[in-house]
Amino acid sequence: MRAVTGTALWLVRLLYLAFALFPLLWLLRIALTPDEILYREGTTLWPSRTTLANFAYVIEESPFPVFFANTIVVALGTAAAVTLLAAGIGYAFSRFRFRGKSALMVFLVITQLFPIVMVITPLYQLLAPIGLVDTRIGLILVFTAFNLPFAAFLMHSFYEGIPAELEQAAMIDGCTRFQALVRIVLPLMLPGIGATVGFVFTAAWSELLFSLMLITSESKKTFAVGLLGFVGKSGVDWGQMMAAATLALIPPAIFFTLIQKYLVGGLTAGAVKA
Amino acid sequence: MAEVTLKGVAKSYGRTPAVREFDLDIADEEFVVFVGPSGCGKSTTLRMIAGLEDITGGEIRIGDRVVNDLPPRDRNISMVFQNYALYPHMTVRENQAFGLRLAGRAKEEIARKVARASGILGLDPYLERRPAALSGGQRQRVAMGRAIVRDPDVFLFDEPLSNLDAKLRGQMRTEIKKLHEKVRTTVIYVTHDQVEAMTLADRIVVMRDGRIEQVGTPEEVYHRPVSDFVASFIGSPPMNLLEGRIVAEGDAPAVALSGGPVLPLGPGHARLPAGASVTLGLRPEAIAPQGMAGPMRRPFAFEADITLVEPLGGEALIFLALGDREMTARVFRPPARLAPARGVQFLVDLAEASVFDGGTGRRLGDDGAN
Ligand SMILES: Nc1ncnc2c1ncn2[C@@H]1O[C@H](COP(=O)(O)OP(=O)(O)OP(=O)(O)O)[C@@H](O)[C@H]1O
Ligand SMILES: [Mg+2]
Repeated sequence: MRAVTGTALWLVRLLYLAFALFPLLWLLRIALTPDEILYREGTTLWPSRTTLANFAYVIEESPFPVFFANTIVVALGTAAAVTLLAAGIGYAFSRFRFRGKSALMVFLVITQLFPIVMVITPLYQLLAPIGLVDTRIGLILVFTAFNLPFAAFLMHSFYEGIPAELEQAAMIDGCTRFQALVRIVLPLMLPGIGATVGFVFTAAWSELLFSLMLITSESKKTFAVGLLGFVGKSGVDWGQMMAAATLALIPPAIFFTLIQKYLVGGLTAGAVKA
Repeated sequence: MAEVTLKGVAKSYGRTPAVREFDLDIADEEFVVFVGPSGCGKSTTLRMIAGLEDITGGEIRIGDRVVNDLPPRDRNISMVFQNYALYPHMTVRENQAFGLRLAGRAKEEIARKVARASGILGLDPYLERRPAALSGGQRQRVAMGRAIVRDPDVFLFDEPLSNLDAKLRGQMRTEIKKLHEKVRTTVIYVTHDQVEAMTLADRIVVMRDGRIEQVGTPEEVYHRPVSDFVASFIGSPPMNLLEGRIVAEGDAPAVALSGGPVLPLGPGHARLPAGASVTLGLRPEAIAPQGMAGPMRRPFAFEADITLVEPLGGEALIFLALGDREMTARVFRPPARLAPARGVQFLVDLAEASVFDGGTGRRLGDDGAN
């Protein structure tokens, strides 16, 4: 009976993996297929011949390296700003009683209800006079504003998982509130911080709509906007587009590898009796 | 080492008062237990003493310092929390050393103090473990170790044993008592378990709705409860509380239980006016079937039905029906033949009776002359 459920579980996992990874395989397949046989060979799982020409073009001849650099700056900047702010907001919501707290939390949820397209024009008009349109700083500001509510909620729920008594014990043991925060709460919050940074980084990394509207200079484009450049009048250059998209997966992959050890929860286990 | 003095201490959350006009003097090295039903303000009071909660009124002194506005770290207190609140990312050793390290003590001193506390509490085998790898009882000990290494002026305990199973709770109760003999320090201990209160306390503070209902030694609180509330809260099984009316019986007053016998009261209750409605309080051990009763100062005999017997080994609880009411009697070394029966002769020691006002529940009369 046990063995059967075990096997079934593995089958389900495999199925899910196949489902999740298939688009990636397809991405790679098209990126590696030489242009001249892409349409000729029809739909096969793997082309008869592969080439790195598309990658070479993207890296050496296209402006994509600049797009990548822009995206990294914007995504890291956003992740840093949002995480710092959300850490503070989440803490306040979790630990302090203050007037209008629940109203404020509801308000944060409400901001998430509006479709982004609604605010693009007003946002443009807001940013244009102060010279923030077509700047990376402007983009970071906008991303930060839009990711902050959810990130604050995420952080809040992680703080809620850390009993307030831990800080109180530390304060009795001799800490100031700030010391208790740094020496007790911060180490326990690493999974929460990791999750928030990861979430915000990914969101900023692949954002398209704002970038498209707010960035006009070629030198400041992010890669998501850059990808659209492959859609030409005469058609779509699939091979190059997929090569660029494949490359775009690498930074988030590296990033998640770096933070994954902080994503693993369970550190708080044993603080209190469950 | 320090006295703790609370003068008119009050706390409200918004408009709801949680603790009101709390006055208490705690002597140096005294073991004081706050006891009361859930929500009566025990934890709030303790947390105000710890500095974890601002006070809305009054004054708290520890030693000769007013600590109203001092943060917890400047009060030189230790606290053991109900959920232990061990630092999960630190080993048992680090948990205990944390406070000393913050205070910038020398390495050798820290090592010596941690070794001493661990020795007292039997923590030596676990020093390098994280809290997650400890049992509930072991965590409890670590929490106590962390509290004693710092040689505080006052120990605060908030229901430290309520997460343990019954057997461990009993053991730890004894250990806490022994610990207090070893490290003579003022202790304020919160519990809603009256057995803990009775066994540990030098003095018990019974709280109700944010107020002190009674302060006294365990004996005082047990034998001379100031109200029917204290009477029903302290003691297990609780005191039998029977409604009745004062009637004049010759020159001494008596209580006529509604639909039951008339029980003569002692001279201490001579001034109670006839007709007053009262509640008569009788401890279960003051009642026993004839032949099983110990020596009594003012025995009174009555007849009742035994409806149920709960043998507990060395003692037994007897549930008896007297008219339309139930009472509990507790007898020691019960004979094997004890079983439900009709019309059994009982004795009650009326010298042990408490009389409470039927309306306010306050204790009436001067028992000294009972
Ligand atoms: N943060 C708070 N906000 C509002 N009311 C509170 C807060 N903390 C406690 N109270 C109220 O104050 C009163 C006293 O609470 P407290 O925690 O001191 O009770 P307690 O005697 O320790 O009870 P228990 O035995 O359940 O622990 C309760 O009525 C409680 O609802
Ligand atoms: Mg409490």
